[in-house]
Formats: sequence, C-alpha cells, structure tokens
Amino acid sequence: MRRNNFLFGLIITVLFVVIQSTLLQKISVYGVVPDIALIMIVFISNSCGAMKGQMLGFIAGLIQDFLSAGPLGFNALVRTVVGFFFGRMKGKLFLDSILLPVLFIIVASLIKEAMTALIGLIFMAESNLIVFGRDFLIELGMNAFLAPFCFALLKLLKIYRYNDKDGY
Amino acid sequence: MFDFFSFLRKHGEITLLILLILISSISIGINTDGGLMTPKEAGFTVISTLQRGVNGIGSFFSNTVNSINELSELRDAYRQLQEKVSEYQEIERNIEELTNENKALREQLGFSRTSPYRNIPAEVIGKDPGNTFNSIVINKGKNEGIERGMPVVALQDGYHGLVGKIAEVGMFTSIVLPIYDESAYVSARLQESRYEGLITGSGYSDSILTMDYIKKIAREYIKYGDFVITSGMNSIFPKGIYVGRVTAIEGKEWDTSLQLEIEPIVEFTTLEYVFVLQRSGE
Repeated sequence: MRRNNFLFGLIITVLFVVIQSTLLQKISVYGVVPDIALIMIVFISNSCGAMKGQMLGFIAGLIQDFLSAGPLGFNALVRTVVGFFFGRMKGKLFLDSILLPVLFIIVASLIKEAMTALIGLIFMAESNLIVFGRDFLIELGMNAFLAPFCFALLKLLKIYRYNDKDGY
Repeated sequence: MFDFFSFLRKHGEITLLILLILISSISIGINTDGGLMTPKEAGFTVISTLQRGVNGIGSFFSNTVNSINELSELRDAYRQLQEKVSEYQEIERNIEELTNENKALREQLGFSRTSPYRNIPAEVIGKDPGNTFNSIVINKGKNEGIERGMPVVALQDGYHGLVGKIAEVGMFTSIVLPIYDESAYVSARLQESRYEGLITGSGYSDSILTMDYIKKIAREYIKYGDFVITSGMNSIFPKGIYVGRVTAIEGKEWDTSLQLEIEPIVEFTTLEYVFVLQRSGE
C-alpha cells in the first residue's frame, strides 16, 4: 500500500466520522447511527495489514474522541485493536461480496463492544456504560446491512488491492 | 318497330298526364322560394355532399396530423407547467420551512429577551459520532464566553426545559452532556408539592428519566403530570428550570423512598436551538 493510499483512507475515515456525527444523525434509529468509520477501518486493515490498520484505527479513533463526550483515547484504543485484528487477517480469507463483509463487521462490532465493556470496567467503573444493550443491537444490524455496500464501493475505487505485498 | 303515334293514340292520356305533371313540377320549382329546395340547390346538395365527403376525408388526415403536432405541443406545455408547479411547490415548501424557522426563532428571541438569566443562544450542529456516549455539539465555544459546567436549556412548547451542561469547550464549538446520559445527575423538586429528589438519565435519548430519593410520605401529594423543576441545590443548574413531568410513581414496601419516572420537557431527537446560561455575576 502506498503512503498516499493510506492518507486517502485516513481522510475518508475521518470524513465518515464527521458524517456520523452530523448527517447520519438525521436518519438515526432511536438515536443510533451506523458506524461507517468502523467499516472503513476493517476494510483498509484487511487489505493493508496490521501495521497500517492499527495506525489508521488509532488516528481515526483519536479524531472521534475529539468529537465525543467520552475520554480521550477511548475510541483510539478500541479502533487500534480492531485495526490490528483485521490487519492480521489479511490474505487469510477470500473476501466475497456479501457474506464475509457482513461477518467481518459483526465480529468488529462485537470486538468494539467487548473492548468498551473492558475499558469501562477498568477505567470508568462509576460511569455505568451500557454495553450489549438495545443500541448495540440496532448498530450491529445497521453495520451488517451497510457493510457489503461499503466494501463494494471501496473495491470499485481500486485503490486497495488484496495482494499487496507491503502489508505487515 | 316502335310506332310513336300509335303509342300516343293507345296511351295518350297517361303520357300526357306524366308530361304535364313533370312540366308543372319544374315550373313550380322554378317559380317558388318557399319550397324545400331549388333544382340548383338540389344539385348543389348532392354534389356538395360528395365534396364534403372528400373534404372530410382530407380534413380527417389533416386534422390528425395537426392533432399530433398539437399533442406534441401540449406535451411540451404540460411539461413546462409541471416544472413550474414543482418550482412553486418548492417555493411553498421553502416558505413553510422559513415560516416554521421564523416562528421558532421568534420564540427563541422572546425567551432570550425575557429570560431572567444571561444567556448565549446556540444551534445544535451534531451529536456524538459513536453510540456509546451521549453528547450534543453546539456552534458556540470559548470565543462566545462559554465555559465548562454552564447549564444548557431549550425552549419547547413555551417551557424552558433543561438540556444538560457544558462538558467540553472548544474555541468555536462546545460539547453538551445531556441530562439523559447515565452519568448525569440533576437535583430537582416537584413544582407543586416541593418534595426534592435526584434525577438520573437512562442513557437513551428517547427514554424517560428517573427521580430517586423522594420521601415516601410524599406519595399522596404527587400526581401524574406534575412538573419537576431544578431545585438549585447543586449550584450547577439554576433554580426553577423545568426538567419534565411525572409519568409513573413507584414505591416498594421495603424501600424508604419513592421512585418517579419523568418524561423530559425537552424532545432531544428534534432539538435544534439551545441557550447556554451564564452563572450569576458572569
């Protein structure tokens, strides 16, 4: 993966974070919006490897933290782990059009929620974070539904190739 | 061979009768206007009917061609009119939108002028990008004098309802922690009975709030629909701001206090404008 591709992925992911906080709020279901930035991180990590995946996850998460009421570093940590996990999966599975994107996003959402619970338990014991609740299920459904479309769109751009040798 | 004179002699009377009738008829026709029609008219009628028929066929084809042209023109005109109607509908929608916005802004302006607190009007520009935390982003920040911890209210249905407090301040924007967040606490009291309690959020923007620690003896004084206002005890929120209405009263036998369900005054899913209240002396 070339450096400008990474930069492109980062810009798109940051753009998605901003869209999540503004435009997508208008079509939210019970105040819940899909995590399209997470879909982006999963896709790029899986096509570029663990190193760039976790870097992207960290930076995108940090930017999300700036816009969020959560503590700085919360999303950065969650998304770094997601980026790393799916980066390690690079080249191990053949990415079809529907099933694997859906499966990837379900796993990513579960990792995100489990990490949220863990961080909440360790760092924010008094905050009563709601995990694996109604909002999570709605978000999971939205993410799973959007994943094949987002993956197809990103594949169409032909910026990221699955046989890149420069991943880690 | 036919012998004309022998024929006349034989049928002379009848032949003459027919001849006379014929002459008489022609004569009558020539010399009268009141008849059905003159021979010319009769001839004209017959020929012109034919002419009309031919012309009719010609006209039919010509009218068909013209109709096709007209249809095409009408279709163009219809399309243009449809576009105009769409434009007018768009204008009507814009007018409606502007009227609603104007009404909302007038209400906000009225509140801003009559409010006992010094306030900074702001517009909601976003919400938390994730679903784990609850926050509202407004378009005013440090530059406009906003500080962390300032209370935020909104005007809805004529009431100034509590929205939350400022959690983070940027140079041009701020993050508001809404009262429905599970980490938010509001010291409140029932407007009628004056009993006090503590309100906490559920974490969901569309759900009710919970008011705890109300003395059990208050049960008979509390009614459904009673207003709950801020008590001012906590010092973060000024006294007397509407928080919500009582929708349910629960009191377990073994518990020493009541628990109320409160429907917030502010409809958070449609929130557009808010006011950041400045503390006294600021």
